[in-house]
Amino acid sequence: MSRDDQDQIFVAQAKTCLDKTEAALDEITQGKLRTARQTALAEQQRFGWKIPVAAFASLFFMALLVNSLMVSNEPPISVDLFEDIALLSAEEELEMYEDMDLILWLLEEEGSDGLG
Amino acid sequence: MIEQFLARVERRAYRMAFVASGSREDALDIVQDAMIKLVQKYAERDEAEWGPLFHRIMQSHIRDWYRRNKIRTGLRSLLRWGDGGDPLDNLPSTKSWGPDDQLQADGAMEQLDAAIHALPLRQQQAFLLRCWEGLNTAETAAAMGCSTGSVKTHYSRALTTLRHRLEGQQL
Repeated sequence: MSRDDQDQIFVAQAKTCLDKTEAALDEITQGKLRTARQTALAEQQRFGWKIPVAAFASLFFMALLVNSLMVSNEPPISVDLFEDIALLSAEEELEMYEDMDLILWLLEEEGSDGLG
Repeated sequence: MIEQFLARVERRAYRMAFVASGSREDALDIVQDAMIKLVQKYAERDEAEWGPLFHRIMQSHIRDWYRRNKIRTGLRSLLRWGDGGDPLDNLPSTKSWGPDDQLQADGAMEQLDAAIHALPLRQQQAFLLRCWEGLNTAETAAAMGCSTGSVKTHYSRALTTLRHRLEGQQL
């Protein structure tokens, strides 16, 4: 008989023996296994409602994260641009330029009078 | 559905955990933790996947138990060493079974249990999954989280050792 044959016979005997140990499990242990199973199933029910809540919370935080990343990707509006707009839109500044024109004209007039 | 699956596999799972741990309470804890994990994480999976997943979880929990037990035993030995006790008295033991227990075991079941328990953990796992569960090499490797080559080595060594230890015994 080859070694493989001997191994197969041994394995078959060991399997039969192990099957018997499973079948011969005492009532107390079987009861504890039933309790363990019920505990596991109760965990499923307790855990079940947490899945949608956890999913919602994850989605919410993902949305927040994406939003903050998108906002931060936009080029920041520079302070210079704000100043330019403020300068360009200020009415008193335009009046100043008009006054400057008037003053220059008066000076020119005055100079031409003096020369002439 | 998953309750029926668990009812079908729980006794064998317990026996595997018991052979590895040598403790009824630890074996029950291992099985319960594995059931909880399967139910919480994989209950929605296809029923055909439960078997391989449960094997994988069980073997992983047995390995975790084994590591924790080693650390606990090692720490205990260190603490006793510090107390001046004889370190030889505190060498890590594998719980309840030893060669003497094996000799005194009455029936074939106890002898086989003791012989398997005396194997290194990976050999135990490879032998039980291949021989008892009837998994092929690839399925056993998936359950044990190792290569098929390792499974072949562990299984071959386990077979050789068991046959040697149980030579002349009527199983």
